[in-house]
Amino acid sequence: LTVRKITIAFAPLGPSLPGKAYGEHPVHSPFDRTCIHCYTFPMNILVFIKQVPDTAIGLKINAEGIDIAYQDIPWVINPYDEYAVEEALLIKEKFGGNVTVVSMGPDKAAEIIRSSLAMGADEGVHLNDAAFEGSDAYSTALILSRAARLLGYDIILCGKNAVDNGWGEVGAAQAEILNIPCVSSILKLDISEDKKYAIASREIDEGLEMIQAPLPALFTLQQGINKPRYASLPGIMRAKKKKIKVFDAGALNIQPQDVGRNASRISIKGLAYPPARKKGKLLQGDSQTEVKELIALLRKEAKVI
Amino acid sequence: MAGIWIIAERKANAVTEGTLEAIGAGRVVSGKLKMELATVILGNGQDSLPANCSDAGADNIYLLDNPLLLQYTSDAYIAALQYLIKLHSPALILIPSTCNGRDLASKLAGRLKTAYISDVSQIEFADNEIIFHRPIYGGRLLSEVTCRGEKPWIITLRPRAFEKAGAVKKGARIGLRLHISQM
Repeated sequence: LTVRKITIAFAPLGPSLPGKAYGEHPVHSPFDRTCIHCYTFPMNILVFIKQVPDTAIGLKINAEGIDIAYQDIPWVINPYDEYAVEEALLIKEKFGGNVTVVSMGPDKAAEIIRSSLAMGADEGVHLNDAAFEGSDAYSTALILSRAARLLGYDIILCGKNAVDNGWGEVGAAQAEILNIPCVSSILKLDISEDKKYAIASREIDEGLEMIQAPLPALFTLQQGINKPRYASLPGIMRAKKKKIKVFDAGALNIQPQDVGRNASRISIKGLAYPPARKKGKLLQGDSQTEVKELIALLRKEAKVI
Repeated sequence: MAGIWIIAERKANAVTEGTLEAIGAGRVVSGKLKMELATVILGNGQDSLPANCSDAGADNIYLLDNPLLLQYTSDAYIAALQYLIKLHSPALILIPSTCNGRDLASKLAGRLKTAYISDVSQIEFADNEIIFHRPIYGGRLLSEVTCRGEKPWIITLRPRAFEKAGAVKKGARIGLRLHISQM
């Protein structure tokens, strides 16, 4: 395992926004980290979650052949996003703060917001508008970033990708839009005592890479960073009483023509089942030739080495 | 001039297998679309041009040389690439789907606001369109997608899904030195 340490030379240049007023002190940009007053305030942790079909079951292609058949399939929170909810709760336990879970999706997406509230999140926000349907990754990032600006943030967490179509772009693009650092596929997240920066261990091919980033920043989470908790019974009862805020395109200042299926940069032409597994092959001859043949087959046919 | 670019990934003084596969895939695409194929190498120092890349079949090699590019960081790499993309406006950028490759590709697509297709396992051509095949739902289904809108479109390629490029012709070596002030 090689561990390298790099410091991101990145000055957050947030646009000047009518910031959230913290108590009595003057209104300033939520990106302004020079305000001493603000450091005494709890961190605002945003978690973006997505509802996805449960991939553990057999998925069928629908009649049109460009999407899956949605009848009778169980829906779950994207597993990588569940790590993000857990990580947010762990940060809150250590530093205090406010955990807000945000999900974009149709009416039923409220289920995963509710289940995250049951895990212990403080607030739930549902981004729901017919115009959002069919948005590509960038448009989705645009919608989410508008919500982030409305809600204010110190740390944004989300899964490294969704297990459905899984472009793996939304987190990165959102950070680009918000102009904040983004560390992807992290397996460990440490926040400094003064809450000014974070050190994240990011997965690379050779091992882990430790990256220091000033807050506010966005992190996408890899499997294994934590073990998501089960919702407690009192948690479930509390979550039932909580009101989920709903934002539509108007509330997020999104022009409907900028998002949705028509604005998509990607179009899906078709779906197919992967080719069935081939029958096993038995190699003949002495061990020397067998090994040689096996290596050749692994290289040329199976293409695994 | 529109072209097809491969963003090379280096290990020691050579480009990785994934990069050679991307060059192999790029050569097929460039042959079909009659576009120039270029390899972009980011790094620093005297040994910036990897030995196994110069004759792997690219028409051009863009060499971005700067101390900040010694080690992969998305900030420096994207700043450098953005500068080069502005100069030469490529149509398609192919990146090996490794941890750093995916990180770079997703952030670059976010910066450029152009189409991004990750984890492509096959490239097909039909009616003047490039169709990308990629596994979805954890490999349970295969999806065929096309891009539209502004270019460059950014594609990450699954490892071992494409034929590696062999030594075919001598690559034209273009060294382009980036200065910090240009970034």
